[in-house]
Amino acid sequence: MRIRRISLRNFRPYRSQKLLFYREYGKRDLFVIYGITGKGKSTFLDAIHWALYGMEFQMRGNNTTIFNRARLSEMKEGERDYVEVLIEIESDTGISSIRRRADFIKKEGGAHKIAEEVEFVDENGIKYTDVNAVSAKINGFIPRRVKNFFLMDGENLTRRFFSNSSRALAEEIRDMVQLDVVDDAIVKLRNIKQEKDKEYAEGNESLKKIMSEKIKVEGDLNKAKDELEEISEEIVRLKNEIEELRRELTGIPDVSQLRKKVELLRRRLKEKNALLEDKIQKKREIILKYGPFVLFDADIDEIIEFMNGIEEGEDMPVVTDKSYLTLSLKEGRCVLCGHVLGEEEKKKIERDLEILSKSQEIVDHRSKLLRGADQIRERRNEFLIQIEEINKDIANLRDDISALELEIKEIDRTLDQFNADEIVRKWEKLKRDETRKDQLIADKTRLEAKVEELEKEYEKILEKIEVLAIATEERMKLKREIEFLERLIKLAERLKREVKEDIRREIKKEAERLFKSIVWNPESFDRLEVDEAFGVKVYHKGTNLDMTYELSGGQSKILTMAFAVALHRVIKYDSPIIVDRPITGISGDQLIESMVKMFVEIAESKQVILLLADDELKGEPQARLEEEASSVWIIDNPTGDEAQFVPKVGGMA
Amino acid sequence: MVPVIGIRIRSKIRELAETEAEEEALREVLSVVLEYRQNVEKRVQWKRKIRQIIAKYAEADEK
Repeated sequence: MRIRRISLRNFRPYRSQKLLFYREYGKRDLFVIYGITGKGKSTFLDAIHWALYGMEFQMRGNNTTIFNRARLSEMKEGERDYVEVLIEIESDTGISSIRRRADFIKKEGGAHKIAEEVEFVDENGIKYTDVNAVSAKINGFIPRRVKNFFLMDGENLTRRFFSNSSRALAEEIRDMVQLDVVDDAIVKLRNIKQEKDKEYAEGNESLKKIMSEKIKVEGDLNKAKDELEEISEEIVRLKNEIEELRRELTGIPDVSQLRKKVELLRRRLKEKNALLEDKIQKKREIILKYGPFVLFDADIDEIIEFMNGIEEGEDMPVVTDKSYLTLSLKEGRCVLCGHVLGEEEKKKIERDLEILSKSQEIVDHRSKLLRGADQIRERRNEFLIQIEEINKDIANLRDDISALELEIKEIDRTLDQFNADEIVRKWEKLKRDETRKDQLIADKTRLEAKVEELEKEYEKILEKIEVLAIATEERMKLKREIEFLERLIKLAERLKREVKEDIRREIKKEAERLFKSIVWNPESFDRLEVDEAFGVKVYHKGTNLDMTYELSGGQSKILTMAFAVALHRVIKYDSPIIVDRPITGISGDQLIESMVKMFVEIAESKQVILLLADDELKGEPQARLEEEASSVWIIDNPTGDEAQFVPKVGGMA
Repeated sequence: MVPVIGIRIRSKIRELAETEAEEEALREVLSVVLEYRQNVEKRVQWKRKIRQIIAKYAEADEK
């Protein structure tokens, strides 16, 4: 980038001036402006500075005004006019411009600023008026914080120059080579690494937890399985024993059961016998209740029917109208006892008959009986029904008793047949074993359920572990990323250090070369150093002491300019260098020649505008400079308020 | 358009990086940071982008 044109209106002594910076073919991009002190030379630098940053380069009092005094004197009170500086910038992409304008009104004879505006028009004709946008654009041309390395006041190029500029310079260099981006990247990479470290640590905790769960469940499961195996073996063993015992006891009754059974049967037999006694007694009572019977016209069938109501050995007293008889059943045959009565029996019968004859009840009963055979028969039938019923009961009881007796007899015989105690012991063992087996089977079922449950739980844990295995892969990936991040951070840190060091070294080398080409005196100077803060030091050859502060004003100026040029070259700034009074204070033809040589050299690749006092340069160096310059102007300003650029060599104004 | 890191930094990265993955990754990370700094109004999702770059090149570096 270079300045193509500068247009000044009402800026201090310049009422209306334009300078076109045209690089002549075969010439350097070098422009020289001569001016007598106080005629507007430094003000030209002020005008550029004001256009760029809204303030002048030189420190002046507040009561001064930039408004042209000649124009002001022409203006009427209350009349308005403006100050304007326009800088056209030429670059590979086109022409852009910076224009600053301040409006003034004449009041009480003075110029009072009423408004100020700045605009930037880019290569595409887009106009920017926002202050921040314009500042950004201007910074792209000449960065404000290091503007002193572009717009240089020869008077101030002393050793203090660096102490005032080094910090801003360090920041500028950092930003220009994008070390600020590297810094930011390091912060961001560290931030991400911190997060990843945390993720990694958290993953580790989860793994520990699930592994401890696995160990616990695995332990429980193995224990349950062992227990189940033991129980299963015990069950098999018991089954075998039981089978063996059963085989042994095949056909052998359970004696204890038989004993119990026989006892039960005996109890029942006893009960049946008691019941039989009871029934027999009851039958007697019935017989006594209904008998003795008086049978009329009784035939043998009727007698036999009667006989059916009695039991073997039982007597049935029967009274007929002719005789008193006793019917009895002996060995299934009816015996009419009356026919074989012995003396005793006869007597008994006589007694009975006597009793009977005396018994009014019997008499009455007899009379009653006599009154109707039907009634007798009815009563007889009632008797027979009851007798038949009780006989049936008695017969059944007797059958039962017989059966019981038979069964008891059978069991007794069986019990006699076997070694009862041995059998009892075996049967008891069989029962115990079977009970134990049942218990074990129940335990086994319970354990099987438990094992199933634990296996499910274990399966779940294995699934989790599988997930964690995937997570482990993820963790490995995470670890790789963390390691990679560490390497990247180290690389970025090294990059930052080394780039900065490279720049420092390159500036040192170039500044030393330039400085040496101008003022190097092998007798005095050893080397030039640029420290980490981009401060410059020069060392004495003999003592190796820092002699920077012992440099003369001229040497300091050369050092500063050499450094500035080195900076431009290393950072590759393509904007111009404008120096006011670069030679003032430098004595010695050789030094001046070297200075001129340096400007000519750098103007090969960079625009250089030199503002020189009219007596600053003479002789051969001046001729050399003017020969190489594309344009040389002289400021003509006889009144002090109407400066003009008059071409001396080439150039247009 | 993806912002480009200056030639000086790029050359230095090439010189210092031990692997191609390192070189590519740092260059891309710097581009993301630069893009983030240049687009103040429209914030770039730098964290997501840098994480992606790390994942991509950490794996590539492993191979």
